[in-house]
Amino acid sequence: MYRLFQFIYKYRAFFLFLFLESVCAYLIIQNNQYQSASFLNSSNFLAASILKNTSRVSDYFTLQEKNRLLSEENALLRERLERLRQSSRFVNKELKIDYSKVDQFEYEPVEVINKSIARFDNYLTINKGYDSGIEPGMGVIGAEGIVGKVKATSRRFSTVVSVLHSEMLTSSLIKKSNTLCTTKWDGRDPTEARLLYVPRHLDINLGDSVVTSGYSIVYPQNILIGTIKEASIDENETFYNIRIDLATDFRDLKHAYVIKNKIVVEKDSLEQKLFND
Amino acid sequence: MIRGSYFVHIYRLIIYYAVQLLLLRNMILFDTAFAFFYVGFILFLPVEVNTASLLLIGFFSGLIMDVFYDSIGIHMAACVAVAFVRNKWIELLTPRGGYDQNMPLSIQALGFQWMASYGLPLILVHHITLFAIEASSLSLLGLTLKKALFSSFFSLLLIILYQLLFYKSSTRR
Repeated sequence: MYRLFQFIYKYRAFFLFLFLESVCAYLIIQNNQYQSASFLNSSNFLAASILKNTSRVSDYFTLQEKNRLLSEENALLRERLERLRQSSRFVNKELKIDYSKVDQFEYEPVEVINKSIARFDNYLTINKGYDSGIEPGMGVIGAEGIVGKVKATSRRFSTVVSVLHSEMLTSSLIKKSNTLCTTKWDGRDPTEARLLYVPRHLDINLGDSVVTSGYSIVYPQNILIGTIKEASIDENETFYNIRIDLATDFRDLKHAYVIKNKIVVEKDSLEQKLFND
Repeated sequence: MIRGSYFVHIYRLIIYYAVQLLLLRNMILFDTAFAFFYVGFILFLPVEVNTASLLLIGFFSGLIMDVFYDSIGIHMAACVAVAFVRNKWIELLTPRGGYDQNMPLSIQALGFQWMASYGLPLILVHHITLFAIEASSLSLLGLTLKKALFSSFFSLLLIILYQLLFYKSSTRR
C-alpha cells in the first residue's frame, strides 16, 4: 500500500493531468447534448455584460449600414402587409379562420451581442433571456432567413446554436417540388450549407429556394433557408449532393427575432403520447 | 516562486485576457488564422512553477476562455495539455550553462531563436488539440491542420510583439 502511495506521489503531475483532462472530456461530452442548463456559457451574467459592452462600442462603426438594412426590411414588410390587406378585401367573408393557429407565433426582437462564424461549432449570444419569455429550444430568424436555435438562457441573455454548427440539422423543403430534406452545415464556408436526403428521381433546378418545413416546432413554415447553388449526383448514389447559399449573412447579422410558438406544448404532448404507445 | 512577483502575474493575466477577449475575439484572418494570444500567459510563467500548479492554472484559465467562446471543456483541455508538456520542454531546451536563478522567460533574456523554438511547438500543441477536439471528425482533418498551423504563427507573432513591447521593465529589476 505504501508503495502504491509512493508511486502515485511520484507521478502526481501525470495523474493530475489525467484527472483534469477527464474532467474536460466530461464537460465536452455533456455540452454536446441538445440542451444543457449550464451556467458555463456566454449567457451567464458576467460574460454577457462584458460582451454586450464591447458590442456597444463596435456597433457605432456599422450603425448606418444596419439602419439601412432595417429600413429595407421594414419597407418589404409594409408592402407584404398591404398586399395581404388588399387581398383580404376580396375574400369571401364566410371563410372560417382558426385564430389559435394564425396567432400561434410571436416574434421577440433581439440584438446579437456576440457571434462566431469561422469555427466548426458556432454560437451567438443575444441580449434577452427568460425575463422576456425566451426558452431553450426556440427558433431564431433574421431578416433574410433562419439563424439558429436557443440553447441556454439566463435572466437577461441567451446563447443560440447557430445554423453554422456541426450538429445542427434543419428540417427543410425545396419549395418548388415540396421535397422534404435536411439542411446541414459542413464546417467549411459560413455562406453555404449542404442539403441531405434529396432522392435522385427529382429534378433539381439551380436557384430554387429552400425553406423550413414547419414539421419541427422550432421554425414556422416557409421561412427561407437559402437557394440551391450546386447539385450533382454520382452514378450509384441514392441521394443528390447539393450545396445551397445560405440566405442569412452571418457576418453582418445584428438584429434577429426569437420565435415563440404558443402551441408547442399541445403539439409536444400529442407527439409524446404517440411515442409512448 | 518569488512572493513579490504574484502581482506581476495577476497583472499580466488581466492584460492577456483583456486583449484576447476585447480585441482578438473577433479578429480572424481569412477565416483560418485565429489568435489565441492568451496561451502566452501559461508559456511565460516563471520556470520555477511546478507542473501540478501549472496544470491547475491552465485548467482555470481555459475555463474563462470557454465561457466566452461557448466551447466548455475545449480550451481547458488544450491549456492543460500545454501546461503538462511545458516544463519538460523547458528542460529539453536548457541553454548552455543552464537557466539563471529567477531568470524570466522572455525574449530579452533568452533571445529570439530560443523563443521561437520554445513557443512554436507549445502553441502548436495547444492549437492542434483545440481545433481537433472542436472538429471532432476526421473528414475535416485538412482544414483542422490548416487552421491550427496558420493560427499558431499568428498567435506566436502576437505573443512576441507583446513581449517586445511590455516585458522590458521586468528584466531590468
